Amino acid sequence: MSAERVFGYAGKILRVDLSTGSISTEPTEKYTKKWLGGRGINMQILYDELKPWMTPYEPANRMVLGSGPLTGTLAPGSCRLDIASKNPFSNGVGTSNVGGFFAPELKYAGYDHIVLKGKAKKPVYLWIHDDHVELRDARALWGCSTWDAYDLIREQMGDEDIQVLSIGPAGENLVRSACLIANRSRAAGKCGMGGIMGSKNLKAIAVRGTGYVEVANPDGFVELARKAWQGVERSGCKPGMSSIGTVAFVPGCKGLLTTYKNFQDLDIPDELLKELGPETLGARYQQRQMGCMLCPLHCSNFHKIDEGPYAGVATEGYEMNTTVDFGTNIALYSAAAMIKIHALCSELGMDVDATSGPISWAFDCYERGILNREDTDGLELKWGNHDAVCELLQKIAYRIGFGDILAEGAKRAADIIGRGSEYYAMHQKGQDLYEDLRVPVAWALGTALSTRAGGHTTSSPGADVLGGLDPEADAMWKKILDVKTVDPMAYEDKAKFVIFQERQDQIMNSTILCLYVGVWFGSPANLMTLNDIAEVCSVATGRKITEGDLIQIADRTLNLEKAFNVLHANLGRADDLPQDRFFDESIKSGPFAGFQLSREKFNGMLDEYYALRGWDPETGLQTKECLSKLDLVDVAKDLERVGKIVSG
Amino acid sequence: MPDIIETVKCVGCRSCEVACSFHHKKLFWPAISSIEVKRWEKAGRFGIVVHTQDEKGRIACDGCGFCIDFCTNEVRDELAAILEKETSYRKGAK
Repeated sequence: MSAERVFGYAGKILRVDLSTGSISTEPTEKYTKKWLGGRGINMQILYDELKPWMTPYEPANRMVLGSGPLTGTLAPGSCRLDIASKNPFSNGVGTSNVGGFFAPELKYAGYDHIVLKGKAKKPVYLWIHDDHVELRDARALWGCSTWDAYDLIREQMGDEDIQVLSIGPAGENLVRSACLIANRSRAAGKCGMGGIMGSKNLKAIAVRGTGYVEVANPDGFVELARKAWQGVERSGCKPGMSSIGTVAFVPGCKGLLTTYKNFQDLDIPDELLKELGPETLGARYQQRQMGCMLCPLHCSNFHKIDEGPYAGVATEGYEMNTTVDFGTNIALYSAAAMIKIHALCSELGMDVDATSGPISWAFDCYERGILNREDTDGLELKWGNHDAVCELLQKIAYRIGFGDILAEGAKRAADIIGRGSEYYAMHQKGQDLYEDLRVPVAWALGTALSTRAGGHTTSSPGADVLGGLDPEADAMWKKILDVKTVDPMAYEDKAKFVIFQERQDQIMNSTILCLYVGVWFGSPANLMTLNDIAEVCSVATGRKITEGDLIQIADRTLNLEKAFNVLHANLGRADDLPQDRFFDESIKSGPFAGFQLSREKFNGMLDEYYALRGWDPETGLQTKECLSKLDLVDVAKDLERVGKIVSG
Repeated sequence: MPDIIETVKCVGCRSCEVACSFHHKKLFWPAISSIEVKRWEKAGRFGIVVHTQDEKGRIACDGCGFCIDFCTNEVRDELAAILEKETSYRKGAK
């Protein structure tokens, strides 16, 4: 081992130019003084190497995949991979994150990150086996589902322990919601990474690693890892997550997060809950719990359908997202159809959130007479028609007929169709939403502000969703966040909730750990706080890392993303506001019935957030002082050149 | 190659492999572990292989039971039973 190597990291970044076939490495050390790993390093590479005039599907675009200093160790949930590229929805920051087994295998092969650029002349896949790296012919794989690609690569290489990240037909056809699938089920869903890989003629990345990860203080590390592991085992989310995964949350989230009929309401009928919750979907079809690597929560599960029209479907990794995206938002009263839809999205390589967006928009427009059968290739888009949903998934993945329009996402599809349909396209910064942006208010604010264009895993506080349900938890969160109320309908201090969660999530995505082992929906008494992570990172790397250092890294990463969005997509204050429909329509039923989002108060929350961030409260632009404090002086200069920074 | 033991509760997370390698080498190095998880994802099944002899780069199990410390609560008894049957590990004998 070289003297300069920092512990915890594999030590190398793999660079692949698909246009020339050139393969090289550089030391990770170049980036580890300023960043921790994962998302931060990914963003620095993206910022340094992309120019504002480059578009997502051009060969010049980069895709950066990164693990972190804790990946592949005994830290709980240390299995995740963060992926960054230019976002096909917003043209700004795109980041995605996936669990499973790929990231640890990459570390064991000797690499912390992979940087991809260019476009191969013919379909290829990247094969990494420790020091051996090559681009292999993938013409026979092109057109295959992700499941077939996974099987064929392992068969071809004669090794069943190979970990594969692949795209399906959707990625090949540049569907905006195309994602990457790790092995058979786990998705790097957000921000259209499947289309980015497809645009590079890259079908898959396959990795096999036989090396190791070494930490600076092994015994100290393992004691902290054991403590963290035991905390996760004691946590409140453990019993449900470890028995039926996030489907366990569905009953508790009824009326809180269950968007109904393309956001027409936030509550769902009891009969729908009965069909889609643990009672039916879980009890009837779940066969076994499964886990990502190194995770005591093991929230994944294996479902199999033995009878009915979808008999024979067997799939892993069904989550609450699919339940809400398709089940509640399109009112599909069929647990079996939900499993089928989840399986189809995995095989075709499509994000469930961003794919359900244009479909539920189309159903909504069909009900209102904005779309008719002539628009939909003859399909009857009546709520509950799961056959039509399956048909549309296929059409989207292959860009056939009406599917070609839906493949653009709800916003662009509405722009194509017009006729007032734009009002019903529920997106943030161009990317389709899973989240309602009315209430819980801090959850909505975090999602609206998210630099990667919506999504709740970068900045949406769980404390807000849980507010008012448990007096003890409410008191704890008030103290931690230094706020007077945790009422989900209150606007007061919600910027504080968001900044707390942004910092937590940035560090979870940099180390990289699963969000569920850290403070999100669970109590800091059991789950990992920034202070806990700082201690673990210190003994892993051999560098003294404090909670303050982590906050600095988190804020630096977020500010780099913000600057990227300004420079590359000209995103500003208006893009941090929800769509008009969220302000115009009140919640009709459930615990928040009658709640109407106030535009004035939402703007007030933005003012507060920008001020707390050290940005200009009026425009939301960053300030020189803020960027200077975060060691981002060069970024400030870039913003100054285009007049997008405020003095002070 | 030792037999593959079909499991009922194992979730396939491979934490036992990583813990085992740490016990042997103070490194996170599943390729040398005495215990190996076989993942048949398509079928939703998992198997365990316990290497009781040094073979193909793997170190023989010494029955320490350290892997159980990092096995999820719901699966620990199953793993302990496999180790008791296959190795010198004895529950409570640490």
